Amino acid sequence: MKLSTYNFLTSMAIKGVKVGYPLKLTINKKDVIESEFNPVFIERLLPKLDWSAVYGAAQVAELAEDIPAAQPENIAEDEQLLQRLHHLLFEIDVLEGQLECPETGRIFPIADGIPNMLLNEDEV
Amino acid sequence: MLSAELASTAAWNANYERTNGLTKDEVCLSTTHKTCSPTKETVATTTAAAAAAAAAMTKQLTTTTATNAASSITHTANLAPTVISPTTTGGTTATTTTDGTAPATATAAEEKTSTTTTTPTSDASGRSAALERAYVHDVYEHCEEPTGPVRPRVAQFLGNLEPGSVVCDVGCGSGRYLAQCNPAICTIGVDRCYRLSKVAHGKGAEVALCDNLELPFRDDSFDAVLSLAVVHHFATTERRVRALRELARILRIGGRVVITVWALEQRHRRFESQDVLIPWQPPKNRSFSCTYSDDEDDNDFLPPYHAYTEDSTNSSRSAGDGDSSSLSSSSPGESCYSFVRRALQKLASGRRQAWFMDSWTSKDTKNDSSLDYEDAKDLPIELRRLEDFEDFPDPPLSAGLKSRSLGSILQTPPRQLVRSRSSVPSLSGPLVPGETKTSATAALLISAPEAQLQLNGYHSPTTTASAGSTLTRRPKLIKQKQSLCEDDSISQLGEPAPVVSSANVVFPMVSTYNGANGTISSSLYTHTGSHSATANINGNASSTASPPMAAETTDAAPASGTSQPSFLRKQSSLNEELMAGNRLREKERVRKRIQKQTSLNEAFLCRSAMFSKRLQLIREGFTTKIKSSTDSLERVTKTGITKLMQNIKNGPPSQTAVPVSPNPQQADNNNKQPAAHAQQANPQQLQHQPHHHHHHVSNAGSLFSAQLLLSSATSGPVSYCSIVDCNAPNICHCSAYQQDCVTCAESEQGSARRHSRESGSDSSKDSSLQSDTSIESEDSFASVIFIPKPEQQQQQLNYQQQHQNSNSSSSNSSSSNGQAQAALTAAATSTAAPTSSLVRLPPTHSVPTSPLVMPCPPTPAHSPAAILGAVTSPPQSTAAVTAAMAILTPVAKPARFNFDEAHIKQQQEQQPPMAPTVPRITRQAIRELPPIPKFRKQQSLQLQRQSFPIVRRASGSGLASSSSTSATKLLSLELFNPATDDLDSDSSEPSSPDSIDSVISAPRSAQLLSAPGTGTGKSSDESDTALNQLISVDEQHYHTGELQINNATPNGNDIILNADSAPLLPEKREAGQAQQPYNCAEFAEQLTAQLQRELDDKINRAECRSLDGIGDIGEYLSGGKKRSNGDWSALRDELRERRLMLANLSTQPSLQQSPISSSTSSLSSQTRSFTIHEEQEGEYEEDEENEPGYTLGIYEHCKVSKFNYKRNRRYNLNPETAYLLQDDGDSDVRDDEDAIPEEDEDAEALEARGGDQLGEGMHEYGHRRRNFSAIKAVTSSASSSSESTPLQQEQQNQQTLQQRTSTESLEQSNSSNTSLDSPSQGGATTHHRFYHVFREGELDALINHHVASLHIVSSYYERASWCVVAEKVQVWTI
Repeated sequence: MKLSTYNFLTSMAIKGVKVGYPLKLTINKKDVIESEFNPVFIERLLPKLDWSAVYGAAQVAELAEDIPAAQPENIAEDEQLLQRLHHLLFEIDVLEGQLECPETGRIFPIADGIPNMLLNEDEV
Repeated sequence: MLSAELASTAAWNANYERTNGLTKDEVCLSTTHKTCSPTKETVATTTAAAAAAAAAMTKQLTTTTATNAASSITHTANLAPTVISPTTTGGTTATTTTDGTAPATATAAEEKTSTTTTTPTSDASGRSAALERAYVHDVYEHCEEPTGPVRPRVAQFLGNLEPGSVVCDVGCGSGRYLAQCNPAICTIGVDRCYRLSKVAHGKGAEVALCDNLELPFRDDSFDAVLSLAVVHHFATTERRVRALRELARILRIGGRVVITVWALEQRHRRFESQDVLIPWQPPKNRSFSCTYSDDEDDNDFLPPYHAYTEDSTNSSRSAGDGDSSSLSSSSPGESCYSFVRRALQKLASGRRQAWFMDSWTSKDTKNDSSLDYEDAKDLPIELRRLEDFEDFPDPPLSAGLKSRSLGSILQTPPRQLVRSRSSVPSLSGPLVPGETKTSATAALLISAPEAQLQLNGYHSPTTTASAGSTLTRRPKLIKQKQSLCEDDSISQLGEPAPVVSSANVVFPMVSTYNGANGTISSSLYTHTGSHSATANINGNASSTASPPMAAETTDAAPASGTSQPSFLRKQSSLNEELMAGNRLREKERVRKRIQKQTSLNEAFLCRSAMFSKRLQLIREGFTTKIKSSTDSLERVTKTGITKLMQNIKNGPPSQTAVPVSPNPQQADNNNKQPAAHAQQANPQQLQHQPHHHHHHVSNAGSLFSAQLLLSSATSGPVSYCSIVDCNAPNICHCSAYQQDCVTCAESEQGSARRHSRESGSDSSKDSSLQSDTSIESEDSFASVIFIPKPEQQQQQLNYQQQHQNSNSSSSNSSSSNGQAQAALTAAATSTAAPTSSLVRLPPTHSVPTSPLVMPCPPTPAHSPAAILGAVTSPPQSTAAVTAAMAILTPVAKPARFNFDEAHIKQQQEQQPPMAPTVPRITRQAIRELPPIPKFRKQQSLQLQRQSFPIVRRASGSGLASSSSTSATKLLSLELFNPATDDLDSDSSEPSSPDSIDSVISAPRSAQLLSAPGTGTGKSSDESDTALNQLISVDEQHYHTGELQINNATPNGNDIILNADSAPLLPEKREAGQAQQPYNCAEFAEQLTAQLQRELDDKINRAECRSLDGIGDIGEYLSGGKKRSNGDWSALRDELRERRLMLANLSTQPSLQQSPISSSTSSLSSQTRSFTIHEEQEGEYEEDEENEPGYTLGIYEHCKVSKFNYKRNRRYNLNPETAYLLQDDGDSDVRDDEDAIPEEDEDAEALEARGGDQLGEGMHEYGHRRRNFSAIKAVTSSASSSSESTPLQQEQQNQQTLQQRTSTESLEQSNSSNTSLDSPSQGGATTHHRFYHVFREGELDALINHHVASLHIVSSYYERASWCVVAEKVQVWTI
């Protein structure tokens, strides 16, 4: 699971959970996969991301120093930041870990890089 | 949840059944519905309340599943018995519910929707979820997916997205669209299939596991969403809508979603319904779309798809049942979804069952609840029933989508209504025996738009009600006899009264006919059908009686005549309706074969002028043929035909005569005389026969018509065949003919049967005699009696003795068999039983049967089922005996007795005829059995095979003996009628299905080994019934084996074959007579060997399974019966043919072989007889459910007898599969994934053909055997006594049978093999995926009506899929 995906995941499907975002990420094993950097792509993607979750992911990924806590206004002009964001969002693959619902504590395991967001019938 | 849901579904089913039953049921439903809202608790209560009904339902359901075939049975058996986990229980319950209530489920769903719609449809959702889990998630998890080409328009859509767009592919599968299409976009794929997700992740795609219904994404977060080939995997409209709404939720405003779903309209596939299970074909790999991954779509899917839904069912009702079985069978092999699949299968089976049920009962309700159907849709799972869909369309959200299917379904409502009527009685019958009768009658009344039908129904009810009052019937019988005599004399005003009485009597007779004819429409229609048939019969009888006589007897005759046509029409209509295309085809075939008969029938319908003209034509043709025939053989054949005709004529006359009490004796005498003449000199017989024919034709024009009708039912043909055979063998043949005739007569009508039996062969003669030497009758009777004896060896002596002293004869017969005592007891019991049966006195049957059973138990070797059958059979046998007696008695008591005795003494030859009657009795017995079954089982276990047959024989003889006097006979007749009616309507249905189930279950159980008894009590009962049936079958086999001729007669079911083969046979016989003996001997050996094997297997299986397992199996079988109701006629025909073949084979070997061989043959014959009994039972039951089950059972039996268990399974599968395929595409998909419905049909046709061929071959064998028998008359007696040897001989016979069957019935084997193969393939490797194929505009309608935030941008058809591109818009709610 790349951290870009993490930015979209919520546990709001769980019964009783209103927001369920952001999920508490725990990384036990991660891999870095280099990919082509496309600044335009990152730039256009950013509006669709939740910066707080991005920052949280950076903290978990021990890259907090590279990511400002608040989204800079002219991020498009900061290609270095875009580069770091690209690395953070698309080059770090969480192979093992878990996601925890902030409201219920429900654990969504991540195995083989695939987060299991399936819910039991009684959780819906 | 699932379990609760299942329970609720079960309750629903029960309710549904109740509803079927009638107002009470409805009330229950309403109550249940009300309770349902509370749901689980109420459901539990309802289920408990409906326990009885549920038990019946389960049985039926199980039976239906059984019909699905051994495979399905195994699954079901596993499921039902195991009911291991909650899920399993739920599955079982769900399956049961679904099975029983396919329609019920729909109705229930509707109701639920109404009541529980607001409430979370836990049941529905749970079910649908389970279905999806089993047929979507699991399948994708286990099946390798072929990656198909990328959809160009989807790729184009992705490529056109702006850089940086975030796309979520819901149901990404292997991630085809995630990585390659556009590197400038961020794609996240989600799928529910872990395996596919890993594949996609391996490709570098970003994937997550989640469900489309609970997407773990923020709202308004994606620029585009793909839902390719996902939504069609949701089982219900509600879930589809939820999925669509979830897609819209994660889509940002202005974002677009691409949705593709499989289209109903495809070039290369034709779906019979929208909800289908499509087999996963490994070879053709598609791209997996786990939960919702890619579409595989496109036209590539080679595999056929069988729609579970209504359409399929409607179209191929007959086939559908079988298909369902096939589906179930196929699924069994599979591992994962076993539960769900099983449940689904059960549901499917339930649907099948439900078809009838639903269509009948629920249509109204459904229509009413149509509004609520949306929920119902969800609950039922499309697979269940088309009806649901039908209902759905009206009310629901996606009314337009489903409406079409519904509309298609709706198109047939009237028919369905009719069916429902017929089915209703049947259903009610199973549920509540007593109620069933009433319901049946009510159904009759209802269905009987014609007052006549109502009258008939009343008569039947009255008969049933008056069953206890056999006395009245007796007089009636006498009256009928008189009427017959009058007919002969063509005088008699007393006819009206007699007619009425005869009508009453006839009803029972008719019922018997129906049962015997089972194949006939009447059988199909179940009780109602039987009633109608009875009505028809009555009408026929009256008409027949009237026509000759009665053109004069205006009052009764006209009324009867009027009633007859209507009845006939009704039957025909019902039959047609019930009969799917296959059945219709088969019927057509049969009709073609029996063109003469059909013509007669039609003429009969047309009546008067038409009849007379046609009859004259026929007469002329016969006469010319006869005259032209130079060779003795030809003469024999012709004479045989003529005899058949005469028999037919006689049969009706006999029936008619019955009312005319005085004449009957004369008629009997006449019959006897002809027989005697025949015996004395074959040429004379030939001459007589022609004369008789002529006479009969002239006199029996009406009779012919009636006979033809009957023959169309198959009994007539059988009689013909038997007659023909008899002619060839000469006197001996005559005896055989007589037996056959008797059987035929039984099948046709009580009176007609009686006449046909005795007079059948004799009756033809008799009729001729009547016309010619009618006065000689009494003397001729004696002579006739004597004749059969010599032919059948000692039997004649026995006959004589019996004739002299029925009691003594019975004792003699029993003593001769060594089990004479048992036989006597059985006879006594049978006699008691008949009365009891009339009164519905199961205990009596059971008691007598128990002794009988005791002997039978030894037979266990045959099979546990056989044992059980033996146990149960006693009653049946008794009933059969009584029926036979009745039949015999009506025409000519002495002659009948002689015949009976001869039959009994002749080695149970009578039993075959008994067998036909037995089924009815068995039903009663079954009802009665429940308490006794255990004893019977035990006894059966203890008793040997021979004992069973003996018992049966004894029962037969006992009946004859007990009924030695005409009164007894009359009683027996009455008993038969009521018993048959009752049994058919009430006990027989439940019991018979059970018995069938048990029979079927035995093999299945053996396969399964562990068939935990779900319902011990029920199972025990069922097993008992099954055992009884088996026993009866065994008995029948014995009878058949002993009396090869008789077997032919019992084969009456096979009449068609006979009719077809009859003309051919003579020639064949001539040519192959010399060779036949040898062949016969070989066959006998093979048969014996096979039989031994089968018996051993069965025993082992039965032991392993235990009663419960049997019961379960029985349930399955019953379900199968239900399913195959539509296909019954065809199946029956095939079965009959097969049985005939088998019987011939078995009998032949026995005759050819030494006494030992004969004993073995008797065993084989027993097995055959079982099959026959089953068929007969099915016919008797007439209930659709029962019928299919019987057919299944019969098939199985046949298979068992003919082939090994495997072969049996195959056969079962074949017919089932074929039926299923035809009827239920869905089932086909599951079971017969490979086999296409059309293929199945072909297979059926092939089978039928093979059966015909086999039947012909059997006839030949029978001729040979007869020859041998004549020669080996002594040996036969010895054979009957020698039981120990039989095993070896049986083995040999079995082998021979197998060989023969394999060789001779290549078609059958092929068909069976094909069917087997297909199911086996499906079971082992095939995974079925659930699809809801969308109609054009359905998806659009769903989105427009239920997903307000989506605005459809474009909708197009691409690669077998409907594609919709929708844009999310801001929705302002004020």
